[in-house]
Amino acid sequence: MSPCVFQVATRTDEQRAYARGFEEKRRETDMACLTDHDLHRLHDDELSPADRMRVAAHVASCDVCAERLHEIASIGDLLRNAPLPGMARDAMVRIQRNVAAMQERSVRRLAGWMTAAASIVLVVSLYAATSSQAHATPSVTEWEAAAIGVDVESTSTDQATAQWIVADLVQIPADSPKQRGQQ
Amino acid sequence: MTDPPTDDQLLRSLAGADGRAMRSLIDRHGPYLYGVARTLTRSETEAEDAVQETLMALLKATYDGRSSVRTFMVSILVRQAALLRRKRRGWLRIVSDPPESAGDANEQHAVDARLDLASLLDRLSPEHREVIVMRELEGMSYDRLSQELGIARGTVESRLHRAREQLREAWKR
Repeated sequence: MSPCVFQVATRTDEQRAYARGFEEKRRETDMACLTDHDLHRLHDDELSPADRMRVAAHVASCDVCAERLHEIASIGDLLRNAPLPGMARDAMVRIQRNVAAMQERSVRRLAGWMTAAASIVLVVSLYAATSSQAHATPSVTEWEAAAIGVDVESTSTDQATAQWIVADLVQIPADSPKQRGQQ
Repeated sequence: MTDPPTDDQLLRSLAGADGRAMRSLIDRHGPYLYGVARTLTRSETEAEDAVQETLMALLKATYDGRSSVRTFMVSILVRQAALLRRKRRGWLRIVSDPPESAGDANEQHAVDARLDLASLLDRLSPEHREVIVMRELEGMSYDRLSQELGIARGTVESRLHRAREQLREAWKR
């Protein structure tokens, strides 16, 4: 437990004396000791400029908090200076080999996907081109030819009807060659 | 004589499936990544797997340049180690036969690595280990840690404080 948060009910003379000493110390500095959060944030440089100034000023005037901050910093120093677990040479070789193999597989898979995508694009393009050609040059059906081509012989009821409709729409004069021919 | 490519350049070359770039990155950072992975996983096999997965993830990852390439790789490594840990937990529940216990690993390394980072952090939980490694070794901010680990900033702070408190208690004894 942090000595700055002395809130346990005192039972022994020693504890009472510690509590009195702590209170006196607190009154001397005229401000409560810092919380653990404040100290960790100061160490980790996570305080706002105003808070950093306040907390640093307290640490400069409070031995207890200075000692606690020193402990936090010591833990960080110890971890940063500790050697990392070593890597065996064969582990390095294994990792190099396995990663190279995985990278190659990944490239092949990507190439496969790209080939498949290109094939799909090609097929769709061919289909679209064929389809548009079919629409651009529609074949003339027999009855259409009969309707516009006056020289076509009428061989069925549909063709005769088509010719009649066209003649009616354009109002072919009664003495036209076609009419005369039919008469 | 030309200067060797920087880490950034090597990372960019990976996108072009440059095998030499990957080999250079492994030569430069492999031992460090492995050391951190061993610290996080406490198992040689898992550490190797975590490093391999990290290097493969580099091929797809987008480096934003907010930190050094090494810090970027460590943040991927921490995620990969956590993934492997979760997979292993699930696997252990199924077979209930641990292939390599942390205790055995610790005994194996008790003589030659008593004071290495893995041994120092041995008493911490994986969650506390990863947060203190990323903070103390890579100097990540609370916000960055929160983002990388997918936890709230308050959780980052409490884990960090708890980890330091546990270490302080352990070393007092």
